[in-house]
Amino acid sequence: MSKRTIFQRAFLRTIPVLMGYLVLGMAFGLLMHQAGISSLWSFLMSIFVFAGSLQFVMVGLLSQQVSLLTIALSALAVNSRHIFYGISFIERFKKNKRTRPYMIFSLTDETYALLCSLPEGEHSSQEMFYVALLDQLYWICGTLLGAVAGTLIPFDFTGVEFAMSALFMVIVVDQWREVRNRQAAIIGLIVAILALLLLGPERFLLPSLSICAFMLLLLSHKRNQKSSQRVSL
Amino acid sequence: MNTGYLVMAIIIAGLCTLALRALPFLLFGRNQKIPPLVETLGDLLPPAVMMILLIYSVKDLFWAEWQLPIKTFAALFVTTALHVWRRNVLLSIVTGTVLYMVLVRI
Repeated sequence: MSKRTIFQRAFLRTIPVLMGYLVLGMAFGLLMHQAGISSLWSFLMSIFVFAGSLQFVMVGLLSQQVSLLTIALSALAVNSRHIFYGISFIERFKKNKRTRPYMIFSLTDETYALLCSLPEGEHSSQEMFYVALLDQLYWICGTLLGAVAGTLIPFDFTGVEFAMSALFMVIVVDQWREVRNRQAAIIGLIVAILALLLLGPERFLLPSLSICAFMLLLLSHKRNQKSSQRVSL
Repeated sequence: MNTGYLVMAIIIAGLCTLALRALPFLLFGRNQKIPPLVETLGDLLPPAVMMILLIYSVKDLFWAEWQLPIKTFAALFVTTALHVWRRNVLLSIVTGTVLYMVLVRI
């Protein structure tokens, strides 16, 4: 299969993120512009930080010229959930010899979701790289559009960010088809809803992930025990 | 605004983010064997995390005016039904998003 075909496949997969990231990126660029920070810095942030939620938070932080320590702590807090993403790709990224550092660097929520939905196959490492790269390109383009021209574009994009939820929903549906995933999915759903109701939208994400990871650790232990018992029989 | 400050801010934010993303690979990524527990965990995390991210993407609905949750659920329902029926990722997402954009303007 030619690189071009793999690239085309990757592009088709990333179209939902294209829609979401262009709009979110524009929103970020626009906010930075309104805060009086030059487009150059928006551009550099989208290249070297590449983390949507953190970048949005940083608009406010930079405007207030907070200490670098505050920025570090905010980065660690806002992006803490990214620790969990790599766990599922430790093995799969090993096939990405030269592009592995970039794959690790570019693990955002949306790229993680897309990578999860890619079937493992002969060309998956090449396709994964294209997916990650395209996602960041969309983000950078959106940022530049927002920073430079955001106030000028006449189209009303209200509601297009729904593409993100739709993407997650579609992935959930596809994962649900695999029966052995359902227990984990239900655990995630219940933990998320309870945490959201108890802690509120600003605070529920990291606790959800942590509690969920802990429960899945117990589940993993149980499953591993069962399979080793079967073997020893 | 001070150029040096902005440069340092970006470097620090970037390094912190990278450190978080790289941690699992630093702990288990070398050629050592991944503990089976971590491997099974890595298989179980995606379906659970996707659910959490799904809820995260609609987190503000519980506290919004009643019209918005209804519109969102309607669009999500159509997305899901279409996807169960046709299994086409792009079709499901675009249809759902267009529907939502229309509903939001009513």
